[in-house]
Amino acid sequence: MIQLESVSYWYPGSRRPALSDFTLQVQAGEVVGLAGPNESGKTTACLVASGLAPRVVGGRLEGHVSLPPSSAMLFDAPATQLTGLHQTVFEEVAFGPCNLGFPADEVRSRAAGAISALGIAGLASRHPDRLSGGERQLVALAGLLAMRPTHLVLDEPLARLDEEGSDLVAAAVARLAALGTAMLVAEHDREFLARVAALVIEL
Amino acid sequence: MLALAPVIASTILVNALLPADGGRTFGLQAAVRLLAVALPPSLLFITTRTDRLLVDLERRGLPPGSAFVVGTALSALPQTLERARRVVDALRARGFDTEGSIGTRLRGIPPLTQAIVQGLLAEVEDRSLALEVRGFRRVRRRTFLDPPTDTSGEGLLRLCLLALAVGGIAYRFWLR
Repeated sequence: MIQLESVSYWYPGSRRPALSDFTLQVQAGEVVGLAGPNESGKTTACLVASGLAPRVVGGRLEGHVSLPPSSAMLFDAPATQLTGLHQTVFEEVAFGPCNLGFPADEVRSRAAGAISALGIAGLASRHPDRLSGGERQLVALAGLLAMRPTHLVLDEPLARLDEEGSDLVAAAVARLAALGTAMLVAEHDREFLARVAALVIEL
Repeated sequence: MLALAPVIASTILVNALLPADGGRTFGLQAAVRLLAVALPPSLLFITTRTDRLLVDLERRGLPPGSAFVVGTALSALPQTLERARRVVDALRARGFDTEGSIGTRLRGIPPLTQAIVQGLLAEVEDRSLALEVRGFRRVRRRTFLDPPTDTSGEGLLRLCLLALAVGGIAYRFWLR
């Protein structure tokens, strides 16, 4: 379960909080949406809910945060989420499970499962640098799914996706929720949020 | 290698035209030395995939962070060229002329360089966060899919080449 209680967060060197008195609770298998205009704090809430802020980003946090042990976050810019070191999409997706030290057979099985779940089996042998922005975003998401996180934070996952890509992400979100993954989805597309989220919080 | 061709050709030509004795021989020697410097890295990158090289180095004890830095540096060129193309397109769309005379092209370099460097710096944090969520800092013992393996012949060849290199150095410095 993701639990944030009266959380305020300041980025390093900033006097104004990027997130003020924010409370959120996402149960296992639940999908909660985050909506709001630019600069409203959606990305900051995602960083806090994924455990990256302040642990990696730095800054100061007040309030109570309780997160499951394994978390993952999908960012809005696909170009920076891929390592740039792998020759095929399959190797790129397998990067996370390889880092976690799973046996090679399990790594292959996880990578193949994540690729299949997002309907991108046709891209498996392609070079990640030669994909479109939307395809890269799906590959980045597959890379996270292959790690099988207990909670997943998606920050504007549809930023570069067409309608078909959006449908694939929506289907993947529903499937993960059915498997018990707690998910927080920040998105401008309210129609998408209405489709996937049981609750939408306005920032 | 192609970029080096004019330098090698001019080295040979200039030395061949010199009135001093042995100019042609000196020119050829200089050209061979230039080739000797340029050939090994060229051969390495023509015959070896960067990712396979890094996997093997990491398997032999190179820390994952160092392997990533080396790999990123080696694979940065195509990505930087793509970024440069996008910046040039953006500059042109805003009416900034980047083609024509040498002066016009030179004037285009500062904004292009600034945009590329700023973009690369802005990406550092995003890339760092993306690596974090992919478990990069949690690596204790990474799994390698299909790591490169040596046949017995390749191992023997490597030993022979090493012996040849050591012999060459010994001959050059002590036996000659």
